[in-house]
Amino acid sequence: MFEYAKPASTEEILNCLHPLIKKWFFSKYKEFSLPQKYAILNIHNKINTLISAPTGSGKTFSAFLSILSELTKLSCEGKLENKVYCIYCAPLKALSNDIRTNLLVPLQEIKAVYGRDLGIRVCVRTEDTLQSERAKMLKETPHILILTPETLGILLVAPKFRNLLKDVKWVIIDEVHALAENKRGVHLSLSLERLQNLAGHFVRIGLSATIYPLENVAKFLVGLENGDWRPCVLVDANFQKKIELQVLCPVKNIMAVTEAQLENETYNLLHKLIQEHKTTLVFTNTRAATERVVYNLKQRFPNYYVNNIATHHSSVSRNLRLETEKRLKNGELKVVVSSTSLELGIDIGSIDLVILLGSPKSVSRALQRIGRSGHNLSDSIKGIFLAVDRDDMIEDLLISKLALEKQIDRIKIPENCLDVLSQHIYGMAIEEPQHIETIYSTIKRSYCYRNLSREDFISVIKYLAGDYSELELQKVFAKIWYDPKTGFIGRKSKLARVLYSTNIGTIPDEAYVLVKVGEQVIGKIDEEFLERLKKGDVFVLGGQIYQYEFSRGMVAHVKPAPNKVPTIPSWYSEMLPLNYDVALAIGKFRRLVEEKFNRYLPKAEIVDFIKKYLHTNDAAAISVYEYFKEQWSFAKIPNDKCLLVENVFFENKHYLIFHACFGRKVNDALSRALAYIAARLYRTSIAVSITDQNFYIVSRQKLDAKKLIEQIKKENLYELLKLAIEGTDILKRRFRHCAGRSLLILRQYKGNKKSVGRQQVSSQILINACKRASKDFPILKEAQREVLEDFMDVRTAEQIIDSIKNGEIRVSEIETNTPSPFAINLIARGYSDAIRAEDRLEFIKRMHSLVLAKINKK
Amino acid sequence: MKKENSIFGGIKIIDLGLWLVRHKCLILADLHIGYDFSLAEKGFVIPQKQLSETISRIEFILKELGQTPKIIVINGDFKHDFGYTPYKLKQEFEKIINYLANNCEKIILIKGNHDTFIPIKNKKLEVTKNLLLGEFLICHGDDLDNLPNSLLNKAKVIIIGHVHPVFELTDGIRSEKVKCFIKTKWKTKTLLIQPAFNVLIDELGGSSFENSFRKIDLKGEVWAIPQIGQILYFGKQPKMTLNLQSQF
Repeated sequence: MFEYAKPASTEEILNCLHPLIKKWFFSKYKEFSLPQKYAILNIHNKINTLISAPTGSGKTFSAFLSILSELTKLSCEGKLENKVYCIYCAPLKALSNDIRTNLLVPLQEIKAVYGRDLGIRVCVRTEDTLQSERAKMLKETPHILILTPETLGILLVAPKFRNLLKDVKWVIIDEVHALAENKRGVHLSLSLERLQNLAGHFVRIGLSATIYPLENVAKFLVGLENGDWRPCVLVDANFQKKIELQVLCPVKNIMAVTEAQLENETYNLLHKLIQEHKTTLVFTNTRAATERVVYNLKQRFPNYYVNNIATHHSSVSRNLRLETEKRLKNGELKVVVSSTSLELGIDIGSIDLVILLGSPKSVSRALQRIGRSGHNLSDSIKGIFLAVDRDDMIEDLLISKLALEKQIDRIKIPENCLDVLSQHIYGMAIEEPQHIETIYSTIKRSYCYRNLSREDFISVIKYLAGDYSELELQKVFAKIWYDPKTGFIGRKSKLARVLYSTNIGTIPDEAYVLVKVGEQVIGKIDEEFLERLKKGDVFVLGGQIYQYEFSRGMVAHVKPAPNKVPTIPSWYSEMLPLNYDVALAIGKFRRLVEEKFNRYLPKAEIVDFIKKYLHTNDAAAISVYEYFKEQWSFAKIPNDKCLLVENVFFENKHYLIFHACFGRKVNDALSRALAYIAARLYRTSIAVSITDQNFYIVSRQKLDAKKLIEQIKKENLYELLKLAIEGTDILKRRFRHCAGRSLLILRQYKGNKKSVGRQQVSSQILINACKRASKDFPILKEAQREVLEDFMDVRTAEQIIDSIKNGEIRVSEIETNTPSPFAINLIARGYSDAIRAEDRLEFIKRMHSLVLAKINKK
Repeated sequence: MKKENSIFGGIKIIDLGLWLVRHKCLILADLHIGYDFSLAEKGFVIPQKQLSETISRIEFILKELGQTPKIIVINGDFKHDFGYTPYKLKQEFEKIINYLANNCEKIILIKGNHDTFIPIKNKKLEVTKNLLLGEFLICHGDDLDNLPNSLLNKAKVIIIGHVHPVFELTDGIRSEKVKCFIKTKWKTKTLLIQPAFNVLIDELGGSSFENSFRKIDLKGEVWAIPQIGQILYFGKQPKMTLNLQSQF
């Protein structure tokens, strides 16, 4: 469908560049880098281009060189006008400033070559840009405008600035892989189509880190024209850097140590690795873990870590983060510990080691993180996976295997998001009154909405037009007018533009409640989480166990309860889900090893196989062997073709443990559907717990796994899950986010900025109000979609159910007295959510008969 | 009518309303009309459906009754917003009062703490602070301690709203709150607490409605209303946690 670019010869590239640019380029570089050879000529020929290349490979300039050359030509000919020629869209504000600097330097140097200023202006515009600077941009318009996706959305309705975008020739989307997989990308994809309506054809250039499949990201980048994908060439310049990967286990046999020993050895090894390198970047998966690592290193090695260690994560204040980045660049830091905030491409100077503490959960994330080391093209990149427990070790080993074999996991791009759609339709109505067919066809050009149904589209129009309200109040709260006779929509009030500009965006506000022990703040929890806490409830926060006492306003008071079992799920942990492709690879590996156990092959042979298969050393292979051997001796090893179900009676409860190695997103969907069916079938309450490699459902009664599985079909899974998530915290929370994005909840209204904590309206009230208006109220539908398709992975779960039905996956049920070795991590976790399996009324009736029975006994 | 409906001699539960048989008087409490409007004004622009929902639920009660009440009492907090009433909202108030007026001889609105100012007039509408009907004293409940002795002495039963009582059911794993009536004691009197009519919050009850409620424990008999028209008798509860406002 898309062509891969062929490298151009140096001569061909030189022919298309302006003499000044040529001169400048070779005053600095010896030759064109690989991505540049592939990309420059295509961009010069006005062909959409997606460039996937590692950091430090000259990626940015492969996009910019041709553009700079054109602008230089215009400038020299005196034809440079006061308008925007190129938009550069970056996901982070910090990145914007970096890019500006990276462009200003060459412009200065070109000026020196030329002898006078070319007058090419480069500006950054974000939500933080001052009013005065914005006004200045109208008079002295930047020729290259650097912005965030949100700012582009706002500029499209800015009456004056909009006109300056009418001749945009190039749009560069940086870190397109990071945007494409969430709603910011969905938002951007529609902004691009709106820009296209305004500016006509422009060249789209995507810059991406390693990602798969490149074709899907290209589709996302370019969109459709008359039902066909717009042309695009792909540049895959990955893996030109040498990768050095290693999985280390801090102890010899991970099966034979206590937790304290393991922790000790982990820090010793971490310390040793840091000391052996110049600058180390450590990635953990949660903010809490980041803090814990820094705290522990300082405590354990006080002479080594004082001012040369720092944390970098999203809860650290912006100033502190910038400071850390600066010190990192200047080489003042020995080690920085980060969660996800340093994954994206801010230039962080030279780092010679990246340590992944805990599984990064996907190959692309692993490569992204490790790619932060070795910033010069000639350097090799060096990454070490440090396993924190045995399941973690298995994940690490397979991720590193896949990374070395260049098997990248697939990206998932959200589709048909009705909340983002609401924002854009509102935006388009503000631009000018438009026919809904024009709007519909604009929307359908985006990859993310190519399959949008007309019903969904109309339901959003109706929502915005206030159709779901009483007649008297309809006019007051409608955002747009819609005339079904003419088919036109338009903005309702003069305030629309302000309301739109101050409320758009897709990053949700979170309502957090501070959690304190005495006066000490130990963390924060979600407001809805607080709502369900009762005095005495025990829950996990940042890896520690606490008992809830009481709350005052937005502060919850707790006391430490290290030995208690959690009674309330910690839904809101920031745990990253294991990628499905990696999960499948684990399943396959398990199968291969099990086959060898079943043939009673000698230990040495199996260890040797593991070593070769995983490209690893003896120590890791032996640990894997021991772990698998234990499971095999106990029962059998579950794998990608065999779903092992363990029926255990344990601590007075009946557990059904599904050894489903499909990743948390899929397991979430499967477990909820099964629990929902179990609760309906057995008329009892069910709790579930989920990990990436398995899940259980638990009840006071013995459950029959086969009977439960029989009830699920590929066709009814989605509807089943819609019922199963009703009333859950996750739905309420996502609904609140969707309501914000679709401007059902206005963050800024009538001059007041609302902090979410102050809103104090239960999401359930809002959900109920929407349900009353219509069963298919678009925002509620979107919240359900987001939970089922983005937070969970219902589509893959459907495929798995199908595979079970047609026998590709065999279900094998066993009865045990204690949980098998593979289930230990799962059982240790405590349950994660209660399933509202009966509907509310059934539950109330059941409780009623229980209460009555009690009364009658007396 | 089933025995379950009888909460006290001469008083029956009809959905969320109380029916004083001898007085042919229907009591509704805490309608909080304009709650949706008020949310929207704060930036929660939810669909505005409260008016039609409220009217259709009253319609249901009247149908269940099978007769036209002589008096309809609104036992406080008819409206939600304390302050100024915009024109659109005033139209809603009028609609609902007109509807009630067409279905009874007299409407008595007992002022609740939200009813600082009632911006509507109707010749059948009377606004008061307390109402004594025989041995039944009807008041909103926000100011129990300051009830005039002249009324108290004559009353055997006090009927209040105000606290939006809900009954919490749990099996250890899951919990649900249901709107409920409570019969309990207050000083020497029988106290009947009526659930809020506010249709927008029927699955939630007090604590989610406003965070200023404080929890108290009390003994009493409970009738829950899990859905329109359904009454579940839960008997005497030795200890209930109720979400109450501070003046109680």
